[in-house]
Amino acid sequence: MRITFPHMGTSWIAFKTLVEGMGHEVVLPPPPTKRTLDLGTKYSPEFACLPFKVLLGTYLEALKLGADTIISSGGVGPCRAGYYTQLQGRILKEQLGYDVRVITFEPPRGHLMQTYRIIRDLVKVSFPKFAACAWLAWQKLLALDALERESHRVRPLELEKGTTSRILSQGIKAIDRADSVKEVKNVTAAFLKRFKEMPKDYDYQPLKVGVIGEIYVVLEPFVNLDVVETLGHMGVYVNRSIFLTNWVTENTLLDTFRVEAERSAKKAAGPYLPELVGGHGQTSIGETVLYAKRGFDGVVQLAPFTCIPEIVAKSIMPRVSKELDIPVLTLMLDEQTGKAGIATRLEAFVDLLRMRRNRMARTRGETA
Amino acid sequence: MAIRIGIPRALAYYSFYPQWKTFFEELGAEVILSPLTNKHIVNEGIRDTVTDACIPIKVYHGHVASLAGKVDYIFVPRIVGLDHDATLCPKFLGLPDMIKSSVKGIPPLLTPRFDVRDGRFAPAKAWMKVAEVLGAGYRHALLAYRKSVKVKQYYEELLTSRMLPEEAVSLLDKLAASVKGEKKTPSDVKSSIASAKSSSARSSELQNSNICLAVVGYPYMIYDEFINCGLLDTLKRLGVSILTPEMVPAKARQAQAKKQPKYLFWYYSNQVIRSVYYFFQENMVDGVIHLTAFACGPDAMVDKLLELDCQKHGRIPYLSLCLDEHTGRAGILTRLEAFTDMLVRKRGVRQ
Repeated sequence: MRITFPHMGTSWIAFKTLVEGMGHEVVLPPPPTKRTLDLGTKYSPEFACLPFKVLLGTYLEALKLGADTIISSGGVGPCRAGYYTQLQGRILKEQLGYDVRVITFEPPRGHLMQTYRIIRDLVKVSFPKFAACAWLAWQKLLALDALERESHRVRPLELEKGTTSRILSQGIKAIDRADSVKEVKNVTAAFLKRFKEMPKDYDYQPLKVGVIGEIYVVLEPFVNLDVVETLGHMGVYVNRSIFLTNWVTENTLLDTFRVEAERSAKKAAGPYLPELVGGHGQTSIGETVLYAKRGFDGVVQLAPFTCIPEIVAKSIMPRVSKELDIPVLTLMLDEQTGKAGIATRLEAFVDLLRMRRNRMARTRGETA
Repeated sequence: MAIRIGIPRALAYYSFYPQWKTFFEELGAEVILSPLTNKHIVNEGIRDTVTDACIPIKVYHGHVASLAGKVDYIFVPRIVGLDHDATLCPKFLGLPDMIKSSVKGIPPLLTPRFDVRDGRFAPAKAWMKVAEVLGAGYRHALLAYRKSVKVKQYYEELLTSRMLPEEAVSLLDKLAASVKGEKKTPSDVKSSIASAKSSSARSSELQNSNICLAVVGYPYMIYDEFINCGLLDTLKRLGVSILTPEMVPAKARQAQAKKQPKYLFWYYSNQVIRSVYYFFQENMVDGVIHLTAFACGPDAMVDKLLELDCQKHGRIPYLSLCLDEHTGRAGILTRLEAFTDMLVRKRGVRQ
């Protein structure tokens, strides 16, 4: 089988290791471009959310590269993402006439046997060998998240613009090349050290902004038009609420044992939105509350246009923002969104945050 | 003075109003319904909501705002699950929270949480809590609940006899008033319901020689004449008889569930898909009109599924109408005329 999978941030490195470890050929999903999006938009329903369109485009490009099987995740709703593969599969097969196999991993809770069967059918090598590969893939995911997290921290402090992004991209490539757990760990340590040693402005106090929202648009830089990097270059420390490793642990492992995922955020959302609304709607509210309590200067909410859970969150956000005194900028992204437009809005937002911080420092000075 | 309960005439109103009304009136409260959707309500709603919200949600906000100052409580239920297959759209799940954050200057809300997946008696318990707020005793509330369930059954029977919600509601109102006034027995009520049903079914039988269209979508889109620019009336004038998801008995809808490889995550969407499968199976319709709201999340999926299914099922003609607050009467009329003309011609060619 020639297998492909969704492209989401840097996670392809780990998925590649995993699928190769199963004994299959991997057709790497090409990183999404304008062309991917155009292709996806052409065959998607008009009001499908942006991730749906980008993924469909990615699959079409991967099919052209010779893939014959697509692996993706499912879900139990009420977010639409859980139904993606159903509809995308039908569009690919019935409307476009592709002969393609679509394999969906449902959340293990409630689908344990199904998950086991899929894995049994997919794995063509001995189990210990597969387990070793899965472990390596997981280590790679952890390493990638560690590097990214560190890059968010040091980017606003860099003296020469672009250093951080350069080191990060080298690090990502090195992790991709590594073929043992030990090597992954060495590479990670080496690159963390490079981050530490790069020239920095230690006196600078960056603004702190939390980035929340729907997982795909938060994790895929093409879709969110490099919001994280853009903010970093404006001298803002970005704290991303979602990292793939945390999300995977909480939503597969813990969920299987009926431990509720993202508990702290859900608890924090209680007074404003006590109900799960699917996707990341409730956590978006909760994370905003937590960021406000941790003294962040502002929050940027990212969501695809027509995303139902985030619309619910957006409706409630003004109240949270007002009561906890934390500025929130909501960016709804679709295929029409332009990078310059986003950059302008971010600049304005950051300017406001900076003025707000100065004003607060002044009032503190007066009262003291 | 009796406690006044306001019910917004939008969203789940079309599925549950007679039940809600019966419950509150049995407890001695006065039910005040917001007016039919109009320009003013839509504008109010648009002002209060985020731009990304769909038109039904905007309209709901408008209805809530229109009740402000006229009632003691507004009934904004959090309807989470109506069957074991799915929840409702996330916007229903977060509805009370959205209203609380967005609409200013409204009386306290009654927001019971209904989820049948919590157990057989979960809805009853939710109603008991509402009764507690209104200061009614447990026994009294239980009786009111039982009666409201009965009324809902009547209501659904009337709907499956192809009556439209507004007609069914007014008929039930009339019956309720006559029960109070003339001391009619429950069996009288039953018989008058049965006669209303058969006459409604007969009149739709007469129309069956015409072109028959499935008008599918969510009840709050199909039956809100202001949002859909009088779509049902227009179709009637064009001499078309219509079938809606509510006209299919619940059991028949459920029987179609096995045709879905994976259930959709939203109750109303499942009902739409299943009723269309039922119409296909019984060969009842010449075409399908899908009414959807601009930027409706679930419908992005449903619309495409219906399109593919219509293709698959002998290329049944399919029209998707997308509505928002800017939709114009003339635009809708033109498209409906073109669609029915095409169907008439198609039928002529076949004969």
